[in-house]
Amino acid sequence: MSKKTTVAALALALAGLSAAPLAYSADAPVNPAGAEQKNPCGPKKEASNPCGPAKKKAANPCGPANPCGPKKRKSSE
Amino acid sequence: MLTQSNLYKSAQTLVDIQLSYAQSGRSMSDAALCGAKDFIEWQHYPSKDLVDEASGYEFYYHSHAVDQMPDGEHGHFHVIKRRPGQFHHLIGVALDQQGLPVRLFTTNQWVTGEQLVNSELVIQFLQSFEMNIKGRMAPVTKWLSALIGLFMPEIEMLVQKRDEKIAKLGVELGDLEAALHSKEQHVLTECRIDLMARLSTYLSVVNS
Repeated sequence: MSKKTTVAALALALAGLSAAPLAYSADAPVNPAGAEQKNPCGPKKEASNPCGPAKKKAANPCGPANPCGPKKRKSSE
Repeated sequence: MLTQSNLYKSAQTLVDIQLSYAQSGRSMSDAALCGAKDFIEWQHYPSKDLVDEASGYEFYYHSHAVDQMPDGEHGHFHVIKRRPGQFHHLIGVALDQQGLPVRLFTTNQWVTGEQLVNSELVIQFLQSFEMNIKGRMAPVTKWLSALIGLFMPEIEMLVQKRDEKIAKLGVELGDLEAALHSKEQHVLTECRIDLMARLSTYLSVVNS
């Protein structure tokens, strides 16, 4: 297989992949899709806490000081 | 300094790994989750980060809350160099939902809690990036290493501009420490990347 063909094969294979599901909040149901099916006429997820804080704030309201920091290691720190 | 031959090897390595995953119905996004069934915001994959204690390099994959992620992005790798008593964030690599790398970025010091060091040292660490990893994450590690090599010009530019931006911000705020801890400044520099175009360039050069 030529190198150009290899790149084309990769493009083709990637096109056949389904989109990976996005991350969900640890506070959300384990199977949010399934949960929605149980309540097909229920309110939208955002409306489940109509008086709650906005989702963006709730996701990490008092989040870590270093949200993208690596795990702490005793050996080197 | 990466030679044309090394760039070709990086391109070929990257294609081989990503194609192998894709042909088995998996994307790099799937691979980055290390077999985890659930992808939960803020959690690290692997849970204790992927660490090569001998070299001091490590990385992990994660996602912020969905509404804080750029459209179309699935998650991102944070690449770290650890030294005794300190660590340094080298580069962030964001993937889309098909597992294609779409964006590179640098972060402010407070974001990871790193000890921010100058761009020359960061670039030196990146040019020497190599992790000896065995098991299911070995291909992901090789893929990431190849990607860093292929996009080193962009990465160098981002890290240098990061330094310029933080210096300018330090002047504006009157204090470098204030700049490094400014919550208004999260991602300092970023650029979009086109993996398929880059692969075609290097692999076509060899073929022509």
